Amino acid sequence: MRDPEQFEVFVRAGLAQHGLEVDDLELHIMRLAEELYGPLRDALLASDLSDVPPELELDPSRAPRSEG
Amino acid sequence: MNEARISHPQDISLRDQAEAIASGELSASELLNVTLARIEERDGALDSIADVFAPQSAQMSREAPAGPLHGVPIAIKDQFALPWRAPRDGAFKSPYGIAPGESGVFRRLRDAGAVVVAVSNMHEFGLGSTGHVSAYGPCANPWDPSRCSGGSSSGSAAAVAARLVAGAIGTDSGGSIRFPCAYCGVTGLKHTWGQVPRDGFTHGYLTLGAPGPICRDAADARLLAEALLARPLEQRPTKGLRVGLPRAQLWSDLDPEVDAACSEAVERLGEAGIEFREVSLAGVEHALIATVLLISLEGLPAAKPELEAEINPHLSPLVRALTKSQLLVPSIALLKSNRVRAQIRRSIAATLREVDALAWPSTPAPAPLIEEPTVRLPSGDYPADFANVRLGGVANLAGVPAASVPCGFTEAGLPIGLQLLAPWQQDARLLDLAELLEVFTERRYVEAVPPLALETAA
Repeated sequence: MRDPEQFEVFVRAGLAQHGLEVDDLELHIMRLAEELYGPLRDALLASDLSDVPPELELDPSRAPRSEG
Repeated sequence: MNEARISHPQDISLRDQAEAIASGELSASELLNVTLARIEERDGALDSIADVFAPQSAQMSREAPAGPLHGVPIAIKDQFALPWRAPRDGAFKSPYGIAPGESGVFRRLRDAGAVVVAVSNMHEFGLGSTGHVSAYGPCANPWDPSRCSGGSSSGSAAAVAARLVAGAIGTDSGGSIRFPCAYCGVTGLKHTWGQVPRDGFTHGYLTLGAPGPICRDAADARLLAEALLARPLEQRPTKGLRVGLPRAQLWSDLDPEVDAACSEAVERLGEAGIEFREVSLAGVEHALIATVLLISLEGLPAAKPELEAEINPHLSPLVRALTKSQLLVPSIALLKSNRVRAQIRRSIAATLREVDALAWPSTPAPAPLIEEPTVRLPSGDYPADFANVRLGGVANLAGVPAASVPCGFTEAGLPIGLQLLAPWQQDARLLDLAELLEVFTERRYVEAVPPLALETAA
């Protein structure tokens, strides 16, 4: 998890690239969301999925075409 | 129609309403009028209905073709274009720029003879499982108005539970039909992805979301589902069906009353001849974050920048912050989420060759307070969204049909739902299992009436 100062710098700089600002309430909500979901996202990013082939022709209405 | 039992046409089932109109016992215009009156009388405590449009509904009623839902009022979530109304996604305006018109869901309902009587409230942009954040105001739970109705199809489930309508349309991209159905004690079905036309649906671009019926019991849900799918969903024998229980993964960290009620439902189904097996699914440890990321990010390309700029100041601070956060997600997270999705889909496909359905609780805890939408689980207190999507997202990632079926109450009188998943295109099997559970629980959970509906019953 990012430290609070680093998180604020990251959010403000990232949104500025989109021409957006963030107010204190939004920043507070983002921090809470980051506390909850950040560890899950980081675990996903750290996971080794190299042996999971992508589903190249995704059709969610049917079972996958190959077992990979 | 059973006169002895009926004090109001909205206290009878959807199928009885259709039958009463077909037989001439009840006129469609009378049913529409008393439905609008009941919404006016009863919805003040709930805010389940975002909009009514009596002239347009009356016109639909007059022009309704013969069909299985001829003259029957249906509420529809605020995500579908109607000829007289653009969907708003529970917000000031939808960012997807969908104009008034005939959405696919509207056409299916109209062609079945149904009358769209209301647009139901929903969690803003569909980005929540509680229904307490909406431009129309928080949607309350008919079983306890201090509690959340669930979301994002909040109004659809609450309106059906409160007997404002006998059928409503919800949508589900991460559990958004199943969560409010569990919280409100009604039956809901998320169809297999892509079975219902997606035109005019604000989230039609999502590869996770699907519409579906919300009704009080499975027979009504079957009738409404047949209208949505425009094909029959035949009832088939359930004897000998095998149901997989991923106990170690998705029956864990539950409120004890939810655990007990869902376990009891499994026992009842076991008595009814269903065989249960323990199963394990690959990838579910990442299902929550993969679902949240995909729901959040798939919509970004579809949103119109000029509309986003117009809408942003009107959004709740929560959704405004979440939508801004979406812009900061590293792209590798989306790619890995899709890899997790592939893993889950393959695992579900392999598992559903060994069993005929899967089951686990719809939500890990009963409806939280609107004032504090957190749930208490053995491992700690969590925002309801965080806890719910862990159980809801798997079906959306896979694309398979999933249902929530009423299966109990807490000591405080809050409903509990059992979640059932079936193979792709086997939507009817879920309703077969739901009806079996109704029989083996003597229909006590689908016949239960919330206090609010008893208090104002005329």
